[in-house]
Amino acid sequence: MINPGPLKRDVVELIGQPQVHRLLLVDDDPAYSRLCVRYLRRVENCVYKVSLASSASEAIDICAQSSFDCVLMDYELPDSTGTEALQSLHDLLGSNLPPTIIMTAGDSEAAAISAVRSGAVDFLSKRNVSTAVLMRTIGNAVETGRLKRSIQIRGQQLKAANDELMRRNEEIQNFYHTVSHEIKTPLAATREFVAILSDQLIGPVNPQQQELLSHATECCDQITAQFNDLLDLTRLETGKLRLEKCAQPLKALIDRCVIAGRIVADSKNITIETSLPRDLPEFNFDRFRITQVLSNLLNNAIKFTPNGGVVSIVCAWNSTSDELNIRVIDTGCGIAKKHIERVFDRLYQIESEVETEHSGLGLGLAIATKIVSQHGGCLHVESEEGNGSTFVLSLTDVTNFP
Amino acid sequence: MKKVLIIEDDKNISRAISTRLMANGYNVSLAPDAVFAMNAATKTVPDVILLDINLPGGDGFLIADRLRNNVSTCNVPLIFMTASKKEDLREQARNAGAAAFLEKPFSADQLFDAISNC
Repeated sequence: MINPGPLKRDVVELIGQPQVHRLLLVDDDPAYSRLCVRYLRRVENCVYKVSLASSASEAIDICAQSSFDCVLMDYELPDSTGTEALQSLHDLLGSNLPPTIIMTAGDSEAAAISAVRSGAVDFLSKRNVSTAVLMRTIGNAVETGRLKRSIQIRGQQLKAANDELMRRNEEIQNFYHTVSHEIKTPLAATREFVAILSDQLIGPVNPQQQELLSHATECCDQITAQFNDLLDLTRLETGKLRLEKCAQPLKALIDRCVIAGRIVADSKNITIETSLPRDLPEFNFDRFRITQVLSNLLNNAIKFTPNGGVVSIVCAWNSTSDELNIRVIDTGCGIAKKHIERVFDRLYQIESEVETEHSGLGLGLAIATKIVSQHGGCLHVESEEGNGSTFVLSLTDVTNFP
Repeated sequence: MKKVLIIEDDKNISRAISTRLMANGYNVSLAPDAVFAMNAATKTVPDVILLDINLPGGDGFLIADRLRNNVSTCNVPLIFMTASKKEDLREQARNAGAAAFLEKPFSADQLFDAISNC
């Protein structure tokens, strides 16, 4: 017949290791301490390794040498109060202070509040001590300690990750600053050398030579424009572009764009029409950047409109909703459905039927979209293949001057 | 005849600007770094100084500071040149006492405008 004697312990060991909690019990009453230890031995799935101290100074010495999962401390110790002892332990161990339970003689609320205020995670009344109370209170305290530690570690990880991000961000900024300098400097020099030759400062220049020099200057300007576009887009994408909003008269801005646009429009016999309501108020936006957006839309419209066509700019302001809409309408070939969604992506270019001399990097619409988003507005297109396109720039809160 | 000191480490920029200035009757000195710059500026005090902000080692503003604190050069107008579009650069330049600010690439007209306004 099999002896079932030690079966219980074997089963416990087979199922899993019992938990082990290292406790420091600080109390000057040895009888009470022995009582607690006896209670703890009765807990079934947990083993408590208990160290005893009978004064605050003894507790501090022990804590300096060993670590504990939990400390139980009598509120009234011979050499200090529980609160003072706790403070000393905190000074010694800082964030490594184990969760501490203050044991009070009475069970008054005042004692409880004082215990928690002094940094204890819990309190228990000595009068109510039992196996169940000890197990529960210690279990909760150890769990609290674990949670606090994991939050601490998480916090440190986040800070480290953040510091790394900030460092990389600065690296990127410095990189673009350097690239900008390294490209623009020889570009500036080249442009000036060409200008010096063209101005005949180093001898006469015949008309054919002048023409080549003029093309060389155009090339320099193209590189500058593309490079500035690239830098703008990068700054918009990394959130480093600052808008300078202030009150602007819309008509003046539109007129300036149209005058600039007429240079190419006239060569293609394209008419530019504008329509603005009278008596518009001044609007709050970044003049330079919105001009950049409108110029881009206008230049695209002109580029994709055949000779003799019409490009219209129509503005409407809804005073109730404070929404401004500017439509740039062309009579060109329109945009096929499959392209419409991607038209605002950076580097996505639609081949036009008309061969243009240079198509650039194609960043214009990507930049325009970002500038408009940063204003809190939206840029979209309505178009049908063969039926021209309408680009709509919508801005809200335009008369809201903070 | 107006004397111009160009503090710029890029040889091509120096060549381009000095050719242009000399063809217009200016007397030009060149300094590629801080040490040469202070020597040149104090030995023969120029009428205007063109200074590249982006000198290697971040020396641009340092030189500007030294020039302003030196008794023989503190009244010489400083024209800052930069290739960067960093927005706070203009404000920094103003605080460092810039009389004018030129963004590369700049045209001859812009250069002469800046000089004549000093």
